[in-house]
Amino acid sequence: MAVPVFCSPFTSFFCAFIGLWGLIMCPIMGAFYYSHAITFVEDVPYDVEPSDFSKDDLESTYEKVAINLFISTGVYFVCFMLCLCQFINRKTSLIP
Amino acid sequence: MALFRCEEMALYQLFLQSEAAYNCVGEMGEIGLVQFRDMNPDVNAFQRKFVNEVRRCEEMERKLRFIEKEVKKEAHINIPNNVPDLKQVPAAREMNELDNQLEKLENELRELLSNQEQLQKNFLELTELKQVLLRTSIFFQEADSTRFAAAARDDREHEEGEALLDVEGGASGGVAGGGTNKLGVVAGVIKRELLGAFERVLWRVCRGNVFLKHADIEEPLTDPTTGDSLLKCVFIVFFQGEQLGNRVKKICEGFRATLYPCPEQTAERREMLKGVEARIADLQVVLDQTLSHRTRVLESAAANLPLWFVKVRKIKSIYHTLNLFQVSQKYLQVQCWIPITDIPKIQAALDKGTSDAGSSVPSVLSQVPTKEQPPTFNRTNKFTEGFQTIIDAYGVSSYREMNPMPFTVITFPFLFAVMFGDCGHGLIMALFAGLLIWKEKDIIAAKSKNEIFMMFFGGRYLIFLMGVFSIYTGILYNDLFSKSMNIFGSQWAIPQDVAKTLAGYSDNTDTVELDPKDSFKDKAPYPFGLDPIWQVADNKLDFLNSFKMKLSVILGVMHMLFGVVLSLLNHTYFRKPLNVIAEFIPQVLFLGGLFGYLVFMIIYKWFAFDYTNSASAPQLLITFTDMFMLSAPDDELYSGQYTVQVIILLVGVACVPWMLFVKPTVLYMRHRNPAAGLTFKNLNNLAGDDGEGTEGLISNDELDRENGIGGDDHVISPDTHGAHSSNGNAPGAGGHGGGHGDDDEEFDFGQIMILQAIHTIEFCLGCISHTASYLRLWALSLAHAELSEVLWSMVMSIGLSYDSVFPGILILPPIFAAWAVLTLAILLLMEGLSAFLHALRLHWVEFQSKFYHGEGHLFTPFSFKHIVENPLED
Repeated sequence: MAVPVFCSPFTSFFCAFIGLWGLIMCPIMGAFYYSHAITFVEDVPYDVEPSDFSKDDLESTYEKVAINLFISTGVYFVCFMLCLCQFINRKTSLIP
Repeated sequence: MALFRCEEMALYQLFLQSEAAYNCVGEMGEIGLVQFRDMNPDVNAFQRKFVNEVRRCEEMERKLRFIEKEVKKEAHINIPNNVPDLKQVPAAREMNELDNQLEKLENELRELLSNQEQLQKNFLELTELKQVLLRTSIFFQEADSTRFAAAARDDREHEEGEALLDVEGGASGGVAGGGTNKLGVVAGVIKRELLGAFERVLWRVCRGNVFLKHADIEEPLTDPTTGDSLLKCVFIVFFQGEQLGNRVKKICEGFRATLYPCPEQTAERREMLKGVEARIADLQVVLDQTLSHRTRVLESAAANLPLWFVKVRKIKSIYHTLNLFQVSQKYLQVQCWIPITDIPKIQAALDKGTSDAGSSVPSVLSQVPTKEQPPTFNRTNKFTEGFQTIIDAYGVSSYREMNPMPFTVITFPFLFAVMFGDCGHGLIMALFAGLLIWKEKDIIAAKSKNEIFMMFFGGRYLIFLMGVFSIYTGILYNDLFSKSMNIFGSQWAIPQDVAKTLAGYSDNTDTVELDPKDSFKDKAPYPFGLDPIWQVADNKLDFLNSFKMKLSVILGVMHMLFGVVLSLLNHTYFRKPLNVIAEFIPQVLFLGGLFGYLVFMIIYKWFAFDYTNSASAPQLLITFTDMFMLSAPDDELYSGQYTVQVIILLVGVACVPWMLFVKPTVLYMRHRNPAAGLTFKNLNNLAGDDGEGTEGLISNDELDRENGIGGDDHVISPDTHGAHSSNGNAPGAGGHGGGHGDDDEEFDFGQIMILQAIHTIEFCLGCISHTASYLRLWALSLAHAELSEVLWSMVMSIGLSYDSVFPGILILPPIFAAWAVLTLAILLLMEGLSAFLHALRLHWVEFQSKFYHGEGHLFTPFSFKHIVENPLED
């Protein structure tokens, strides 16, 4: 691919690795958020008085965060592909 | 049992015929199983027999390095990196061939180099001359026009205009003062930065009577020797009179300006310029040809370079080794340490070497009886090598004592995982190590010089196991990047009536206390690991701390007891029943009795009490301290507790004088009455050592009997099991640390007593302090969990706290990346190294102090593989 090379082999490998991690972890977390996992209950932005608590609202908030996570999966996919191209174009050995 | 102890070694004497010596030593180098001893330790390096050959090899290495340097100067030539090892001994005559070849190559290169320098010097001179000619023509033209103007004035006015330049040699023009003034010219080239100083010096020295003009040369010129590019400028000095001329020339010399003859006539100049340009063109062609020839020579050399390096190193190492031999007319002899199981292999290699050399006399290997401690040789493969390295880092095991390595393969990753327990981090660690293992062939071939990376690479199997075990303990602690996994459904639930009232709770009650009587389902716990409800519980740490501390103590006592059991295996192997009775049994009773009882109480309390009566459960700490103070417990864990505790305490206390006095007393009595001191047959053969048992390798009875056991027929025939104290009958022979096995060693009761006291105190106090030391298992796992949780709540939570897409999608990816990088840096690298270090310390100090002596030295065989890979360790 004719992508210009603009970072060192180690940087591109590292960014590709982070991209891959995001690519795997974000959809998994998104899936868990979508299925209203209790383990994330402290991280969901749903802060209301106990009297105004509604389970449906909580669940819809869960789903909104899940959508965010799925979109960021896409972002990470782009980042991963970009860095992978960098790394392959360089054709140098990763080993220092 | 070569897995649990080091290999059996024997000292052999090797006799080689002179012609076959080189080849045989080469074959020894190929198989790498023989450690030679220096038979001439007092001989100077320069007086050894093969010093000339070694010198030649070093010369060859110097030439190779020179060639390598030349090759590296040409950046586009590649030296091939991975040369397959041919596993062949280079023949002796190859040394001569190689020497000649290298000499020719070196001479050729040196010639080429000097020629090139010369050519470049000429080229520089010509270029400068050309520049001088070009620039000075301008000066002369200006001077010409001035002269014409002056002559015109003269003709008209007979003024004092002097003809500055007497170029045409014709009428000098009417000059008012003085006679004909001919101006001398000096033209040359000088470095630009020296020009200002040059001008000033000229002005001062010649009192302003010289005229300097200068012009810069735009293109930088290359200095032939250094290769730097310099900026220079052309100058021309006009002066009057010979004296000034000499002064100017001297100054030019001082400033290292190069002078060029510059004809004053334009026509001459033009001709000279043409000639110079033609010569420059020719010279350029010659230079290009020289360079290309040099490149060709270097390319052909570069292909063979690694192979030559390897060969020269092998030859040099063979001669170094031959220098260790004792040389006599017909044969060479040396003593060497050999693993007994490899003797057939070595014999075969010797035969091959002898036949390669075309000699008919076979080499002779004969065993030498000795009492020295042989080197420790642990055969490892790529998997066990990492573990053996970390054990050897603390101390190489003494000859034939239990090698902790096979046990470390499991206990080390396990203790690491107890401190590191997180599924996610363990997974990343295991994947990283898995990648290293998958690509190990490529990485080895790349021969990286980065030390840190090679250290991680060397421990790849270790790291992989650590990661896998961490995944296991992560599932147990229910920790996945600090979040719990709810796989089976929590066994806790909010009871219905509490749930109904929750809706009416006011704002400042946000916690609910769940009583296990109502909230714990089915009276059965979560099937595997920690219940996920604890993640959202405020009192998570109260429960988890107590649990982890108790677990650490249990693991610690088990680990230490295991170490003591290994010491039993050592005592049995070295035939020291006295140690079994006087050391092992009281140690087990003390450790097992006191701390094993603590472990028992912990486990009993876990089973005996549940949430119905947990309020009335006695505190273990108070129970334990009450036990030592011999006070009756207020609440009993079980009936009859007081009696049991008193018995255990008394037994434990009795163990201390047992450990302290029994062994020295027995040794003393044996020293006094050699014949009467026999209670058991086998006690006869004991030396006075405290379990070092590192006597020589005599494995046959005859040698024992010869050694002066005479008169005493209670010799047990040892089986061929290996080393045992050969001079056993020497009564009370050898104090501790003395020359083990010498018959006439003095029996120093005081020293023995002191040493025994030190060992006893060390053991007893060590039991307490080491048990407490194992609490680091709890401490580090707590630290890891807390760091992980804090990282999540301070970093990742922010990214997840947006419910709308718009700011959320801008913030979430960078936050996730930041969280990932911090996880790698802090939790994986820092915490990983920390847990590694603490687990290692637990092994080295707490575990190994129960049985390990670690006073051996490593087996360093003569091996080509090692020499070729580490060329600088010569």
